[in-house]
Amino acid sequence: MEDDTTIENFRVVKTMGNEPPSWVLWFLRWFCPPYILEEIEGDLFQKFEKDIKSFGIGKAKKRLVWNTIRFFRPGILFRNRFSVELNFFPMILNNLLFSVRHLRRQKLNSLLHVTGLTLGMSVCILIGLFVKHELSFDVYHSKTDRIYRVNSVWTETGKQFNLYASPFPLAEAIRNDISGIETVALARPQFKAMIEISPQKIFKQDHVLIVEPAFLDIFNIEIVSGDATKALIIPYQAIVTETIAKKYFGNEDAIGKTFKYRDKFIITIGGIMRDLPSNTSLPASILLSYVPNEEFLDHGDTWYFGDFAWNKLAVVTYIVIDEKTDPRHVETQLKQIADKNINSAPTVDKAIQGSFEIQQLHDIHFDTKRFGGGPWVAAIDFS
Amino acid sequence: MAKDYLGEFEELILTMVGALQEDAYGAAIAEEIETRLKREVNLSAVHVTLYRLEDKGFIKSKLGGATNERGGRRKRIYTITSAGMAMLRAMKNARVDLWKMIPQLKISGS
Repeated sequence: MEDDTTIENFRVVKTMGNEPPSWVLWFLRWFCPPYILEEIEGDLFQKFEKDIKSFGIGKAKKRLVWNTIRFFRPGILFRNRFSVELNFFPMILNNLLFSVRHLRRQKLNSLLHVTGLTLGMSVCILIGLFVKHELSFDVYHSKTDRIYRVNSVWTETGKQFNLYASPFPLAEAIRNDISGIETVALARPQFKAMIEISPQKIFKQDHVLIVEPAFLDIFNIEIVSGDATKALIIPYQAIVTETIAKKYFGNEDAIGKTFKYRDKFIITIGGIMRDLPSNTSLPASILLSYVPNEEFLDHGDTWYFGDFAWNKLAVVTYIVIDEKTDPRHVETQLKQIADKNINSAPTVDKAIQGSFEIQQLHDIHFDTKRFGGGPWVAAIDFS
Repeated sequence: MAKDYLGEFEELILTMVGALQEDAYGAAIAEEIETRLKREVNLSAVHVTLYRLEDKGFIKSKLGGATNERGGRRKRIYTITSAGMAMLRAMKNARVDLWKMIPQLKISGS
């Protein structure tokens, strides 16, 4: 490409009748750095043409040769740059070399420093990852800002208990009496329980949760197969995680299979859900449909303040508040429910007073006040 | 400006770049020096000096457009930078101050 244009340029010069000896230009091209060649050639041509006019072609040629030879000088030959371009690479390389030599000279000292720095940085990164994970707890639900847990504040002769659990009838009362609530669902965490697939295959299963169907409207739970809502409506059906399905039934389709729960209840699997992420405070493995059967519900933590439905705190009540509703409005109404059903109920001991407050879902993991969230619910502090 | 020092030829070239404005390139500067100062300069000396001034940051350059003259080669057009201008100004002031000290010059000058 460049050769073509040069040839053409020669022709231009030739047609003008002025022929610079071509070997001169070859010579210039041989030693001159390419990026300043064009302007030098141009200036030489211009000088040549002027010389032809003032001295004639013969002398002009001689002068051109001389002028060209004069360019053969260090300022041209060794010119390798035009502007000050900063090239960091040699500097970095030099620094690196310097560091390596320095480190080699003091081996023990270097070892201590490098090890210490490595440890420090690794720990720093690990802390960062841990904090990130902790802060991500429960925020993956699409309604996470509006999901609240109803907590109980019970006083018995002046002693106050802050509890994550609430009475069984609360969910129904909220559904009937409180405005501005989108969804309510109660959940009953279970103790470890025996699950019998066959007489040869018995598991002691943790993280079983008895839930109402609305539970699926509150939390983001991905259903892999089966009709999950239907499964939670029909009594004694279950949704299990993929891991559990594989653990119990291997590669067979678990839908429609049955197992015996706590040696008494025959449960049919109606749906399979994706394993819950590690940053959930509710790491359930099995969701059982809610059946108002006392024996079925009995297998879990209960905070007992008397032999009356509103005084047995055993379930966890989750609510989703409407986007437009002020949470304080909900708390006021909850107070009214408490006053009506507990504090003024004739069957309740006057020494026992009950009340409710609400707590945002993503605060649950950091709660240190309300005995966590159940026998296995992942809160930071159980005390 | 004290640390920067320009040689006589460098100073001449820098002045010519400032004077010729848009038309400051190697051959034109050499011709201009020849016609105005009646002084024979070599093209290569002009080029090398221009490069040196550019390295020192007193002038900057860009390639001009192609023309039919000069065998179609483009010119490298130089322009004076503010550092170059400051240098020129400082040198002019220094010269004028010195010349003022010469009585003969003062009489004939004024």
